[in-house]
Amino acid sequence: MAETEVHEKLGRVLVRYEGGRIEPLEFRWGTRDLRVVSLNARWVDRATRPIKYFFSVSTSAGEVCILCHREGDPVWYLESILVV
Amino acid sequence: MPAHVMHIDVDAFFASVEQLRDPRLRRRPVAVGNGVVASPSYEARARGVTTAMPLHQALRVCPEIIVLDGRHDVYRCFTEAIWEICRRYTPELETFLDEAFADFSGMEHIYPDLLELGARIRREIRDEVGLPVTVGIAKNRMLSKLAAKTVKPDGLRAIAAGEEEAFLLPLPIGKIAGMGPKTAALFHDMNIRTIAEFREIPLATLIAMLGKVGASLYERARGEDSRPVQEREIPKQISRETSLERPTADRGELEGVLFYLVDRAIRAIRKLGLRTRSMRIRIRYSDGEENETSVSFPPTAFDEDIQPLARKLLWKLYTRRVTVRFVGSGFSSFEAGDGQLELFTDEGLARFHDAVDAIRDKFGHGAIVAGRAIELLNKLPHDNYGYILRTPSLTK
Repeated sequence: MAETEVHEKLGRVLVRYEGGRIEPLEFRWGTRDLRVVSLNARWVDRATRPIKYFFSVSTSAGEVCILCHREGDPVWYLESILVV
Repeated sequence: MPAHVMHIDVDAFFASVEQLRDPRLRRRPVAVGNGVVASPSYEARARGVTTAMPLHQALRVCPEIIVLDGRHDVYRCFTEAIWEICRRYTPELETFLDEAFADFSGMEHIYPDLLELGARIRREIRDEVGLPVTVGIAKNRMLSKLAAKTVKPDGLRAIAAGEEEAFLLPLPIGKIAGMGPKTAALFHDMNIRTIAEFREIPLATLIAMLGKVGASLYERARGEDSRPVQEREIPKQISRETSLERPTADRGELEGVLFYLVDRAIRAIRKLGLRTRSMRIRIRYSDGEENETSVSFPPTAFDEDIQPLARKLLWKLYTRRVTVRFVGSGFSSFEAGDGQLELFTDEGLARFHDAVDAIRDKFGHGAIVAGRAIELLNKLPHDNYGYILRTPSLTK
């Protein structure tokens, strides 16, 4: 398995705010619209500035993507894709 | 004394995080490591893969194993989240990479049932972080950790006051903290297999056989451990780096510099009573291009374990025909240094390093220059302390 670094901005992200937590639901990467089938894990890197929030999601296309949201920044990023 | 020390241990930490991040890895044998297995999943352990096993051997034992390099920046985030949950219940938490101790003495009126609290903590960690942890509760650090070990993974056990003897006596001697497999084999040859049988050996005999180790094992076999639980500053990273006065492509010189930096960093790690599980090596070429790579390994505080890996990483990084003007080594993923001590291997090494460290404490690091670093004697400036690093030592 490898983690392929991407670090690209996402054109569109649909998220849900519930119970004080953020959950990505759909996102557009390039020309592809991907639906989040499951949120596998979330973690926060407080050693960086701004603080980064990471989400591992499984998509409708069968990929596992690591999304990132930076505190104070409305843009989301596709950080990497986990390849088995 | 009632049970008041809690040990919280994340099961198969690195592998568990990877299985959480990627659901396709769940219920499959996974190992995190580079060259050797640093963290096998429980599925991999069931197939005979163990920590510190060379990867080629792990692949022979379990051909379907999935091997991952490891992401220490990610693991740190998970461990911080777990300890934040624990800190809801106690401010005094002694944390390491994947385990922590909490002391609840004097808090009986707030938490009258530590078993229930342990269950609650496990539930909250599972719900909020997604990782399995095992909790052990007893009257001191050693017993609480041993209690957890007997119910891993994803377990909970308390040894109530007065039950320590019944818990300890039937256990195999290999469970005594500090008793490694080779030392245990020595006693197995004498048909001493349980802690009850081990306790028949007088202290003087154990000291005559094993020296200082014997005295420690005598106490631990009786469930004694007076070390307090205390919050301490465990650095996130210890690094030693330097730019070179004259950029070089000389392999001997580059290895010498790297080994010297590793030597200094590992000595700092030993001084803090820690062991490390992760190393990062960085070089910068004269034209400004930088390369960096890292490796995970079983916990160690010995140069002998680290230097071959450092050499391998250096030659993996240095691939261009351009001189190098900066070399750096950084270590992270620390854990307490009070794990197993093998009589015939680690004990000898530990004594050797204690002696070397004592000489360096008195006369400066440069009083003993070992191995490849000797090549630098006429190449790098040095003072009473040692070679002069052009970059400040960093512990953060």
